[in-house]
Amino acid sequence: MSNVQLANKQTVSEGAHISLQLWRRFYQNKSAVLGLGIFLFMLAVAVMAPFLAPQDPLATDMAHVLQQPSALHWFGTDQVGRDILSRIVYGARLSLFVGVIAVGISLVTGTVLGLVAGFFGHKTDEIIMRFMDILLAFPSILLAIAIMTGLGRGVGNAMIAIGVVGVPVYARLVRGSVLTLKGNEFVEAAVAVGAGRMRIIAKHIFPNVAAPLIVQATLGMSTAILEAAALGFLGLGVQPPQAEWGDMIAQGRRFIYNAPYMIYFPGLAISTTVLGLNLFGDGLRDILDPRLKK
Amino acid sequence: MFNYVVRRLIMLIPVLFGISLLVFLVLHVFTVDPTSVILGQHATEEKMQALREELGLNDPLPVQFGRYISGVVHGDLGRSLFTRAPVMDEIAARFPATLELTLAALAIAVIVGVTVGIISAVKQYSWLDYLSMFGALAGVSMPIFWLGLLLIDVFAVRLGWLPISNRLDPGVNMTVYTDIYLIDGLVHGIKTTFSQGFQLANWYPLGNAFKHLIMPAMALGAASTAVIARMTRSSMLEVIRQDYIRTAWAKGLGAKTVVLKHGLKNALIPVITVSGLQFGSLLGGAVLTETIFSWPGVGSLTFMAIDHSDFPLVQGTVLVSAAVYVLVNLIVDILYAFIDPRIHYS
Repeated sequence: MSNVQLANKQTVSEGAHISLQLWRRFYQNKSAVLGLGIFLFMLAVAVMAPFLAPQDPLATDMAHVLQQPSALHWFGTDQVGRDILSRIVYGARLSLFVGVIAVGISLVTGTVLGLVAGFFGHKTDEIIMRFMDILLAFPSILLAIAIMTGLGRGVGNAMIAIGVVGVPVYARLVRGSVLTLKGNEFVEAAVAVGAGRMRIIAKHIFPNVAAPLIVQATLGMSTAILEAAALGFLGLGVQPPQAEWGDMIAQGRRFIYNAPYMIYFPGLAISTTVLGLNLFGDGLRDILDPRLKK
Repeated sequence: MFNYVVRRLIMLIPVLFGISLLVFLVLHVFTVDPTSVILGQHATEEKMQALREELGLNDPLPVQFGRYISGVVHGDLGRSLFTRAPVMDEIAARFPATLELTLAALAIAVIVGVTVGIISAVKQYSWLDYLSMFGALAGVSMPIFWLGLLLIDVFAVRLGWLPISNRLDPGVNMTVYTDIYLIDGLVHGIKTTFSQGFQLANWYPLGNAFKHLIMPAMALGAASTAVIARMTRSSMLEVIRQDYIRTAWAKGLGAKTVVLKHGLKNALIPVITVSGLQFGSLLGGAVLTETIFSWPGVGSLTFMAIDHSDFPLVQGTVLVSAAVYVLVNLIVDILYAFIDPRIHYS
């Protein structure tokens, strides 16, 4: 066996060993495992919504409006007789979808901007980071509201608004890491052997920024789901009759005196999902990026 | 220090300009034609064109921005499309209510958060620590509007202890000086006590204002309480492992002195930053809380503006909130130097 093959084999087995170690540490963190469990459960509910939902989430039944939770309707019915459980099950699809896409927008845009700002420095850095400062100067939900008012109501625009609001967090995180990494010997070595800028960014710097990014993305998804619910509650997100958790709470608010369960269950669904993601994110952070443990 | 403050104040100008530009662009480039909001969808094209001309909407975008920014500098944020009143007046009339609510929420968050954080750190890995930290995590995981509605359900609908909306019961009279009702109620109580002698009725407006404030402040402050509790805990844990704390124990000082005097004083520095930063999320959260509790502040005004597609009003409320947020962050930064003598600004 040649030396190169042997070295490759060693690297692979080292990699597998580190993964196993990380998994063991994650597995020992009970709250993180619980968080992952909750998230996977919600994901399963979202994926299998058509099979799990007992009824059509949009089907109205005026003979059974505002029914208390019962064997027939586990979570009761709303003001037009729709089954609340079915709406929550379908709402999971939308909430997780909005969360994933919004975080995707923030993650990709923020990472690219952070890499460019940190690597190129000087004027490029100044311009990008001052723009990020301006985005950070807004309370996040207010900026999302302003963007939504500009773009108009709807789920697509909600994803864009939430995504834009999250960009500076990722940009700053990546830029900070790039600035630290730039002076390291392995980057200098890559420059010395003639690697191009894009190659250095993609192959040498990015992999080293990935861990804190994964942590931030997990925690960012919980924020995105909360913001999406808030926009839904304000009537800016998903438009009726689509089932969305925030909008369901807004509908239930009008019936708080005679049908408070209309607000209990959708709120519980949001809180449980977000709690799961927070527990999972906290656990990941402890394992992947202990420096952030604050 | 003085130079630092002046430099920071000067640096605020481009940030505030950037905020204005961003809000302007977002609301002018993408929004639907405001004339259709004012005149309705069935208005004739001539009428709409005339109104567009009157509002200056036919001018090139840079001209519109120039006009807008010159207005902002002079405190003119335009007129509401719905009420036709100046946006600045609308915001000024409602700002004290929001200030009262956010400060009350921040007070709850700091008092409860710091207390829970200290107990958690001192009793690390006890059931009390686990319970507090789970509570804190649940606090940041709950949508603010849901918590607000749960509070209404329990304390207003079921128990009937607290009022559901507004800042005072109808018929409660007191002279308004500051528009911050807790202060006005206090002044009313003191003044009437001096003139009429002590009577419980003199303090009724203060009590009533307090009762109206509790639930919205609790709902608004819950997430910040959780953040501050977590921050205090981790900061305290870091501090109580330092050598000087060990020395304090070795000197035979009591637990109260070691924890509160030596530990907390140093642990509080990052907590103050976090608390200051929380002010921004409280301003944002006020949109949701004020909407739920019909609290007549800037937050509910923003909601109304969104509902009526009143763009100048949305623009104004967002702009003012962002400006306040930036200013508060600056104040927190400056406070830093006073609290922590190790920090030198040049």
